[in-house]
Amino acid sequence: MSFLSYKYARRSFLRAAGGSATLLLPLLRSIEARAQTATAPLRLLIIHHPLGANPGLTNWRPNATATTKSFTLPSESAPFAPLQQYMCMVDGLNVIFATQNSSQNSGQNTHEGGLVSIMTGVPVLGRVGQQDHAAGGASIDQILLANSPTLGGPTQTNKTMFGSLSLAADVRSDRDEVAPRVLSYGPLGSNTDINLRRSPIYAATQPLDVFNRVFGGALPTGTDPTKILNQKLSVLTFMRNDIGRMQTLIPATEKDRLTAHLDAINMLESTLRQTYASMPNTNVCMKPATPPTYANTSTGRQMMGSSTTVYTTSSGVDYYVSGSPNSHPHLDLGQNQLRLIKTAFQCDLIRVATFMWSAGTNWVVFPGTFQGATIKGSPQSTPHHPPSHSDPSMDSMTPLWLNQINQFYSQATSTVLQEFLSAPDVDGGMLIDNTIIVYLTEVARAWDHNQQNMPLMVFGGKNTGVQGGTFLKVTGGPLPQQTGSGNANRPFNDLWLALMPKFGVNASVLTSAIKGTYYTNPASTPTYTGALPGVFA
Amino acid sequence: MTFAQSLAAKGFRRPATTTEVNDLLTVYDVGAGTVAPVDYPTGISLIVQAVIISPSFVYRTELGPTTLTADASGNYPDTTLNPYEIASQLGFLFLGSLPDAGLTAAAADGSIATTAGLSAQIDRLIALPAAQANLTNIMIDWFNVRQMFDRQNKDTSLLSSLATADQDQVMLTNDLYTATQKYVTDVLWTSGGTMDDLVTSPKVYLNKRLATLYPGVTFSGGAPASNTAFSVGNWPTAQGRSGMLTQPAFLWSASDPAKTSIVKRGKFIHDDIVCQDALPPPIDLSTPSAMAVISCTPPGSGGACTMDNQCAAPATCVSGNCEFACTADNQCPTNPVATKCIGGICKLSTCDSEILQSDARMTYAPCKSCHAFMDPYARVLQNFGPIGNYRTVDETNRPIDPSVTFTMGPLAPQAISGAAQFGQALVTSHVIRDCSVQKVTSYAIGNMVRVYDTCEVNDIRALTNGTITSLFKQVATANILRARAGGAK
Repeated sequence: MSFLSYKYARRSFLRAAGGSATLLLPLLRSIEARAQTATAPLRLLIIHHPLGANPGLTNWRPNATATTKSFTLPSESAPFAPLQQYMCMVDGLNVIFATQNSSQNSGQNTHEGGLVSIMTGVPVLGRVGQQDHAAGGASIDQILLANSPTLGGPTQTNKTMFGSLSLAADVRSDRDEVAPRVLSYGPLGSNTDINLRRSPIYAATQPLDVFNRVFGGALPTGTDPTKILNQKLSVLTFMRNDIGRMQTLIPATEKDRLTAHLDAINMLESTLRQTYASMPNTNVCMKPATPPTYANTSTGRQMMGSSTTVYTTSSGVDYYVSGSPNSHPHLDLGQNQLRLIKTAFQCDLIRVATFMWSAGTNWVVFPGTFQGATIKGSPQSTPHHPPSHSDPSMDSMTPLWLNQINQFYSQATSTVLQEFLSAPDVDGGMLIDNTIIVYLTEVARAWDHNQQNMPLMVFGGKNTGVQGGTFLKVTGGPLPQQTGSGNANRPFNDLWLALMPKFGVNASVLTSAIKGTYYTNPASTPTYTGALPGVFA
Repeated sequence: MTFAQSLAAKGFRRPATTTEVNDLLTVYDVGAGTVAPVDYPTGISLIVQAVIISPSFVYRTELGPTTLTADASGNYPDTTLNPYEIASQLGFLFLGSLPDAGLTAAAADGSIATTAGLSAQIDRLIALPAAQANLTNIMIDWFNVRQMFDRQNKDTSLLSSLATADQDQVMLTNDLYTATQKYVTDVLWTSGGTMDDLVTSPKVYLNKRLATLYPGVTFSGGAPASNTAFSVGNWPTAQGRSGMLTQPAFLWSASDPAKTSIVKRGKFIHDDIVCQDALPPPIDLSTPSAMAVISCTPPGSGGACTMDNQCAAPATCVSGNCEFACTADNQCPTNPVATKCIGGICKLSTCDSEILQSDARMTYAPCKSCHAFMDPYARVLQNFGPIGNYRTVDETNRPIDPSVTFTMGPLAPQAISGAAQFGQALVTSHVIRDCSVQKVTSYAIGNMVRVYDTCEVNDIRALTNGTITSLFKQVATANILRARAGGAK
């Protein structure tokens, strides 16, 4: 037997405390919460502008008779030229109005019937009052919100804070009817009264109210990789200082352990720098500036011109304020609303939104001379809707005025949509890359409410699948065209059938809601034929 | 005291210096920002990260006073741990964690570095339920029972007495660990027993399903009525069980899935229960001599024949292998022990069981140089199967004789039969008490003491009375815990 003295070496680190770099590096890595590269969700924005385009659509669609990627946008769509590469202009879809009530089958070629048919895609329940067609189901945005696994709807695990937003710049409509002033509808209720059975989601019209509701609470924060890297490096600096202190205390025999520890820190720093250098800044949610309150410029009961039956009791904000030629509250209000939607998308507070510049029967007052064009008879001002019924064959002045209004709405919209091109998204790209925007109207030709070849644009960037830079001429359909001979057009629903799968929703969710007995004019007109090809890749 | 100060003091197990606190506040500022509104949660999160991964937290130091200086030749004198290092050492030893408030206070006022202060802290700690639970687990770890959780793949036929739902081995091993904790607590704390009692007590704690798996136990307070409550009982005398080495948890952990493994059990007991000095490393088992032992044939056999079917005499070439062929009348020589003619070859045995294979290892070189030391410790436990089940026949259905003669080691020379005699031998030889001291000392200093006769350990052995409190107190107050040799800078 040997007698061993265990005179234990001084100044030692206990081996069990893990002094080797191979043990240490995993421990050090545990502080590194790797921020995974974020994936941006796909969003949907539907924008409505009132009263269609000029007769014949010559000011709206390019001079092309077939699908093409080489085209020039004419005056009413020209403001969208900066977005042309992200745009698919669709020409050849018709609104098909269908009703469950055969005795109330007069909604075809109306503002009211048009908007409801476009947004819901299903036969209306019937008519309330003169022309208020009661929506027969949820609108396409709400259908997608309820069924899509990616839109953060109420049935999803990862819900967005607000689900969807329905905003407007103005919602005054003839006789205060619901149909022309609502884009979004929830699922049908159970009331037997069709007026109460439909579920309109009324749009908010004051940006300040929207701002307070949506941005009043804490906002989600993303990842600023530079900031996080600096935070982690500050921890490593503390560790290095601690090692420096220890190195003055330990004997030579222990220095290797601290050297190994220091090596592990250096390796970790190198890894951190590489990781965060390539990481996008997902901290894209910035609280917007507080918008102003827009005072109503038209209040009380307003009559439509000399009519004794057409009125609205809603107040609204008009294009201009009398005596303030440089004040355009309707423009400012509308663009503020769109910008709130843009920021809400960036902050992932919503992924679905609708916006209407006005009701289909637009009551926004414009000057009688607007952007150089004067209405026949030179009124000082007028709501937009009445002049739209001027017969162009007998009035060459008013169509020019209407053309300017259409250009105005195109420009107002395009200005904000262009901001989507430079608005950062959480995946390091831009908001346009992950947002599908549908720009639509409720009639194609305002003066007689023709609803063939509906003016329509679909925008979207690289992750949306939108076939940008394309004028898509619809062909092969069973429906008549506004100009040209023969049938070629397809029902408007075919666009939604193509759109729905982009959000992971089976098109049958809509088509199955169209089944049953319903009436069209002409009879047996199909309300859909199938997903429209050519809009999405 | 600020949060940074208090967290650093707790994490580093000593007061933080002004520089360290300022450095932590710098980290906080980077995280929280310095412009309102500050991000307080991020700032605090970074401070916590900095503390828990800094070397001052990760490492336990044994550097002694920071004022220690080297002499002219660059060497430091012998010294002792500083009070905070002592507090840290005692915290991890008794509580398995950071020093508690009492230890920290005793370090702050320096009393922990005095004999009386140190003794007072140790007495205080030993009385804490948390410390008692921790020391109990240390004792269980001495027997490596937690290895059981890596051996949840026992042959299911061993569990056939249980309902299918009760055969879940995760559940069973958890039950066995609980039973072991209760056993050790009872023997060493509640009953105030010693290490001797630990290896001789007939007690066992079982719940309902364990009582089904290990039948025959006599319960003083009635048989266990559920699987959540454990009842204490005594093993049947006929089984000859004796203390910890026959507790099912230990036997389960030290066995193979379907066999007992005399080698595993034997080596473990040799090395860690009786603390015998390390054996030489295993030999190359592919050598002819080793292969001969593995096949239970005498030395000189084993290995392949030459290309012309030749072997070194007296072995002959049989089917390509060098063997000792039986004589024409099926006789075999004694070489060096009697062999039998089995299938025309002279072999020690049929070599088809753990016991017969162990016989060969203990008989023949080169294996016997180690296995004569190791195997006997397991041979006496062969009445207990792979899950600690009592058995009278082995895996080949042969009657088990748990008798062995110890020719090497602290129990030699002695013939021992069965676990009960083995337990008594461990007591009368003092080896179980002696080994307990060696093991706890190793645990306390964080370094395995491999030589039985070590001065410092012998000093502690002389002072303990075999109880768990005496054991840990004497180890904790021993000079070896705090004295450190000098060395070059």
